[in-house]
Amino acid sequence: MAITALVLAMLTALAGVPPGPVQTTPTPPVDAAGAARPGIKPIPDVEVRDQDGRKLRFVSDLLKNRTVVVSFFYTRCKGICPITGRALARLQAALSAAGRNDVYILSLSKDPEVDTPRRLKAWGKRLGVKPGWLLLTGEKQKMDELLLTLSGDPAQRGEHSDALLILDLDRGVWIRDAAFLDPEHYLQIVDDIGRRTRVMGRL
Amino acid sequence: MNMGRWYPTACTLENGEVLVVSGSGTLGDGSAMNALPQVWKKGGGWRDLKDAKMIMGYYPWMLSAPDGKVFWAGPQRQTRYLETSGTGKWYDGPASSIWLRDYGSAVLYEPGKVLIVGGGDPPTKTAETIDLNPTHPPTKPQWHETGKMAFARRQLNATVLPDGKVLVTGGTEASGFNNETGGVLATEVWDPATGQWTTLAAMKVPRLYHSTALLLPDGTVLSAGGGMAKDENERPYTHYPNAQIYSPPYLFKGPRPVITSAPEILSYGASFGVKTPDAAKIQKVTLIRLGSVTHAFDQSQRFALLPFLATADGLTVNAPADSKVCPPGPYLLFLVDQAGVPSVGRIVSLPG
Repeated sequence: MAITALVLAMLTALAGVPPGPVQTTPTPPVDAAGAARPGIKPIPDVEVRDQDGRKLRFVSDLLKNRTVVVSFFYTRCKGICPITGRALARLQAALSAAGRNDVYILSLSKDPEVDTPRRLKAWGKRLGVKPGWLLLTGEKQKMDELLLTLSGDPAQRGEHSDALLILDLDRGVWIRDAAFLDPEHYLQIVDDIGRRTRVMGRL
Repeated sequence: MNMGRWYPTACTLENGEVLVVSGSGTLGDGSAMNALPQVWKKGGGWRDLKDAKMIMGYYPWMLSAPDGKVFWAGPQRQTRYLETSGTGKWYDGPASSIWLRDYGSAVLYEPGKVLIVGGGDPPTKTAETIDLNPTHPPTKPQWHETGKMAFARRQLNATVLPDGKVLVTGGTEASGFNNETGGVLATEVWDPATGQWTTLAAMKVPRLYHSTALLLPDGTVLSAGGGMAKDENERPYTHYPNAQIYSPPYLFKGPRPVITSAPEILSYGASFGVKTPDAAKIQKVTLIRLGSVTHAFDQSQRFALLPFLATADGLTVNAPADSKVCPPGPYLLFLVDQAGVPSVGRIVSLPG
């Protein structure tokens, strides 16, 4: 099924499913705010490179058959990126402690012309990035295409955005959330995705 | 303070102290969010809420609640209450429906009542309200969806007007951090009595990131700024070093009531006199705290209705009963007539 169809199917499904334990208020029916999202396109299966220089296809190698957390950063960033980086390091530790090493963290560079795999590796080392957390770069044009689909912006530095995405395309889940919350918050979401029993809120 | 706070939120408390939360400072090899809430004490100096450390993101929406706590309304959906006495404590609040209303807005549109509107990516046209006031028998506050704006908006501003309605200006319908291609020029106003939005006059230019909107004493709204010059980070934004004055519909409905005189300083729980030749046609007396708005959120504005009686030469008005409704500080006092037309506001002060 095309990703667009999956996302739309998810949004449609949200309308009829009762809320779950994290959410303490009833979720009103989904309206067109999600379905009409400007710029929703299938996520491009572009080639990216991780901090070890491995060439990977973003969709077929990294998104299929798993839940992923997607964040955005660049290595020269002195503002929000170190903060979200530390939050993700805490999340990776929490995922590991919970036995959820199947959940990948994918951090995409918004500065791919500067961020070589070597620079990504050095940045990751400072944060204690472990296997399962991939720092990704690629050709500028391809990264633009990917970032536009995921964040609405091409590769450009300097935004004060602290959002992340939690995606599980096989289950039709696309969640955009704050990147600074407690790890337990994301663990709950990941568990809920696995159970597929509850509304995940609205896009 | 304990460390720097870039993009913090400050909230005046009922006792006149000021809570400051979040913002980032420098720690080690880079930025770090300041997780320690602090309270500026009336006598000077800071009190650390060391048992309430929390990483909160930039410019969290902190609004004082009727029970004296401070309500963290967003932009994330899980809300919380902060007890600011002693060393601080957090309590869970109800979740709203949108995962992340970043660069949306929040407004304390009546005492204890909060409107959150817009934000997110893609931007949403939805809005939600919650009533934090105590009920009998006690019930847990819940978010409720109110009317939707005609336009989805991110990077908008929301301004409480003298008649109690909420004006939204600017923002963008388009996905992305600050995508001017979807800039919304039309303004909209939300009526808390009906929960519905009405589309009003358009601005001349889009106003998104870094724009501001501020209620002026004459009842107009200053809509200004937006964008950002190209800088070392190569943000390709157009910037708008200009402003427009918006005149709401109530300024086109007839003559304005006049405040001939009003005290400059009010006292909690006491009545005060307002001289006006229009006493017989006054329908509402309202207080709106002077604004301090940035990044789509006014950290100060709040609205209150004041009970009053008409007298021979004016009104006898009851000041707020206590500082929970209106914390100490400067406010605009308006008289609003039966046609919904406000007077020019008088700046009054509630002493701490």
